[in-house]
Amino acid sequence: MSRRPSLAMVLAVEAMLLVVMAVFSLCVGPGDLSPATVSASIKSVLSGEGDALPPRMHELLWNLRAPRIVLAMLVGAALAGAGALMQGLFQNPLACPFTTGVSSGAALGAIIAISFHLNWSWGALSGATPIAFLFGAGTVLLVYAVAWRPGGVSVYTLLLVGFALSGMLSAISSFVMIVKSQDLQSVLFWLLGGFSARNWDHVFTLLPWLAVGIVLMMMYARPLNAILLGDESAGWIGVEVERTKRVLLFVAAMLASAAVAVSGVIGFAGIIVPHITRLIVGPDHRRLLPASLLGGAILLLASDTLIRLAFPIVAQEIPVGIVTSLLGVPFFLYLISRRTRP
Amino acid sequence: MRALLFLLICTAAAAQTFPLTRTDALGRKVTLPAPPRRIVTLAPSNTELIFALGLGDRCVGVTNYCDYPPEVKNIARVGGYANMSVEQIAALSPDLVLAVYGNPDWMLARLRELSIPVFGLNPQRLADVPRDIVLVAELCGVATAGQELAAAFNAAIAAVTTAVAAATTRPRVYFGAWDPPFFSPGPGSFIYDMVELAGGENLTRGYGKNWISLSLEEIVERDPEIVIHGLEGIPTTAEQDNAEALAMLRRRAGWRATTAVRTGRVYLLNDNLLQRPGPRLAEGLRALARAIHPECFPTPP
Repeated sequence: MSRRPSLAMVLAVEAMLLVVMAVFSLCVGPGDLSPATVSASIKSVLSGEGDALPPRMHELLWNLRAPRIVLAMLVGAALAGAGALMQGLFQNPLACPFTTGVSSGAALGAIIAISFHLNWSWGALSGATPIAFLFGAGTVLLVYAVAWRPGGVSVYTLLLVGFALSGMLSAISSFVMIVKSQDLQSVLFWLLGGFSARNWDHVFTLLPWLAVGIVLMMMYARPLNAILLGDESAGWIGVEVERTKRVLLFVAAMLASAAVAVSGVIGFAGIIVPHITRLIVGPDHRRLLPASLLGGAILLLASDTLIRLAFPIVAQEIPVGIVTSLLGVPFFLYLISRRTRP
Repeated sequence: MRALLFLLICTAAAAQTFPLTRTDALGRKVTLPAPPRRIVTLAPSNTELIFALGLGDRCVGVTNYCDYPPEVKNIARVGGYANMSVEQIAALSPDLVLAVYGNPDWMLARLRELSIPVFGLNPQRLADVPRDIVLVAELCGVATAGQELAAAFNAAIAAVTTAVAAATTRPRVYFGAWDPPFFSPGPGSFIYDMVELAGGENLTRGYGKNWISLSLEEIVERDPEIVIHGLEGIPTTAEQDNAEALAMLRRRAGWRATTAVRTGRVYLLNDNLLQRPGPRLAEGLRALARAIHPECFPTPP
């Protein structure tokens, strides 16, 4: 165990990687903005002077590209953080941010919003986002309510109820998609997830959830470690088991719902990033959680940058979930294959 | 010219002898023993084509999406475009099923097994529409009506291109949605052809596909001067809708920086005139040209 890198070093490397990738990402894409032009624009924006760029290019750089980059990082952090929490809570390596039905709930909300052309607004956001969030979060509440018994809630009951309810919600989704099939393309595009045409409103919608989520998950990192020893042992050493489970379950659910609402259902990032991070920093949640947050940000920013780089070649915005899996899984398999113990 | 017309009519008359064999767009030879009396259409464009040929009374089944002309609402429905009921179609005992590329192959195969003649169309370019009009008219034994309808279609197209020939500009046009995915027609699709014929320059010039999923960055960089969005069945209040759409786009990141939004040139057009490759495309072309070059059309429609 002594060979594990220190947390400070892992976080520093991750943060450096993120900054380099973010700046690189800001320089690539349509419009032939050279790194020099971009850095001049960054300087003028930071110093509060007027930007020398033409207004249209300024808009492209700062209101399309920049929020997209920031949103990819935030969504990546939210999904990876929620995934790490869920895997800890359920003590199950296949748990993911969507384990208690968030994705099927949010998906149904989005499908209803798109197919019936509902246009609620929620702050600056409209369209599928608010309804997807309500349905995602509502599903988790429902699962919890059904699984709850006086004296606590068993994670196995939560898993079962979540699984059953997801099945029902998916069936309703399929029904709506078949009945209103002229909107199939928009629905599919939303479901596969991505950061196409997102703006600062999406960033500021997700940010408060993520901030509160990070604070809470760090506060409960140590109790979560104790729960891994078993509910009973955790109780002996003074951990409030039920409260810890409840708080962390809702933190994970809110993070996942908010992420899905602004970016669609991005599969796999929430499963793979905590596993990769665990192989590097070990199972202690005080190390695993912060390293996963940054790891998720890196994976999604890298994926989205690749999508933007590939655009001129494929003339398509590839849904981000596809790229996330193609990038993340080989790296994960490489780490697994290097593990010495069975 | 007159001799040519005579020749055309003669060939048309010659084609009228049944049994008649034609090869469809799916590459299959279809033989009809007699002019069909009971026709099922599997796409709105096919339904509109059959009615435009004056064969509406022979149409016994349509899809859930068929809504034009209004008479179709009394005709039996056979399901959606991709999930129709083979049983329902067979129950109508059609002697011709007019399909399109995109109806599931395996469903069409079931129909053929039931000895129901299936003829598939696949109009991709604007010029395919008059070709299909003539072809379907021959199959239905109304070749002359087909020649007339095709000629009227071509004349309507020519009237629009003549009108916009006077235009001095060729604005860049983005045709598509303003929510992702930003699918826009590329070279090889009939809507691309129509935008060009209407005197516009497609934003997707240079791409080599029928449909291109643009990124919003790409749209802002290419800077459309006109934005046109096809909306299903938009009615007479289009002026008001245009204003609402414009106000919305003026608040949207990216869109608000485009020339089209800054100069207020955002148009909503009836999608059913633009996306259904049938005889009403001529009407759609006129609506497109009016949006792109209002100066060439001084009188109201």
